[in-house]
Amino acid sequence: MGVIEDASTPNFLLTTVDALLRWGRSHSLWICNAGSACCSLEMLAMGGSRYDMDRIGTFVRGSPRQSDVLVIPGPITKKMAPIFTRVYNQMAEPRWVIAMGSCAITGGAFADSYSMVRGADKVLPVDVYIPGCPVRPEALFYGLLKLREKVASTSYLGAGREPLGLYVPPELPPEWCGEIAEFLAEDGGGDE
Amino acid sequence: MTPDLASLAERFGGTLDDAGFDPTIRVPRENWRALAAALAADGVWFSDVTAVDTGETVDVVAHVCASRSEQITLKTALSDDDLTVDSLVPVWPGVEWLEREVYDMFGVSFDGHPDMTRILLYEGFEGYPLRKSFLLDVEEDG
Repeated sequence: MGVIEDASTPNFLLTTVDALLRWGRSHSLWICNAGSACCSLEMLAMGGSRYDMDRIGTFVRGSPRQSDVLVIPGPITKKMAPIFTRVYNQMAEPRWVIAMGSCAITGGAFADSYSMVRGADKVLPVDVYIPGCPVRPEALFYGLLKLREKVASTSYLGAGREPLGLYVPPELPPEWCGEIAEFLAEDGGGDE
Repeated sequence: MTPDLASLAERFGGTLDDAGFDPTIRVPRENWRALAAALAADGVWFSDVTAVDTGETVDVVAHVCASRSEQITLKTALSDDDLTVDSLVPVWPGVEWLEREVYDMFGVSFDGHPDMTRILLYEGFEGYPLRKSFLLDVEEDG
């Protein structure tokens, strides 16, 4: 950025579109309202007046279309895995994923179960992992600020941008989910 | 009003065990729905349907309430090679999802149930996870 010195009134800034976009995106990370388990209550606590996530530009939105961040607040069962993948694909790009709590990171206390996906990164590209059982709102705040650093330092323009597009998990066994998996395999769950 | 449990048990060829926490009626599975219908005619409501794998048999268990404080347990034992029993949906429509859960977890098939499919697990799941014979393959990545 810079100020043009010889302008009559130096009241404007010059910057690049890329820097402006990164600044804007990193300061308005909107969360998709997809609470899968008990960590989502901590996420709600973060929205309340004591922690007040609104002050860093983070809101919970009711629709994946209006969201930037998918927080996975708990275990993903094999039945829910294709549904989370579908919600993720419905979000506008660029988009990010936070794995919140032990269950979302590895399966946690429920890892030795017949129905668990052992880690959200098996079905979604996770950007930030936040440990805890449950994650305290402070920890989630810290994770969001870490994600903000990543967003602010990543370019989504030009030749060096990160690849975007339909996300199809590499290892989603079709027998987990019947018709939904077939649907995902066909078009990734997007419906445009 | 509590129904006369002893005569009910006798009428349906079962036994009454009054020693435990709840009075428990065990009946052969042919009379499962008839017992429930007789209780329902007395104004008894169900509160839960589940099952127990004892190792030799799978017992389908129904908890029914004669009043706020009086709970009655109904049981019927099914042998491993023929896990079918009459559905209680014609008696109490609300048991539909509970019987689907029992089917999901134990593999008990309910005759006369309108939609005998899995409810909690995904459709392609193999086996019935709450059976003693179900082995958890923790090495399998998933």
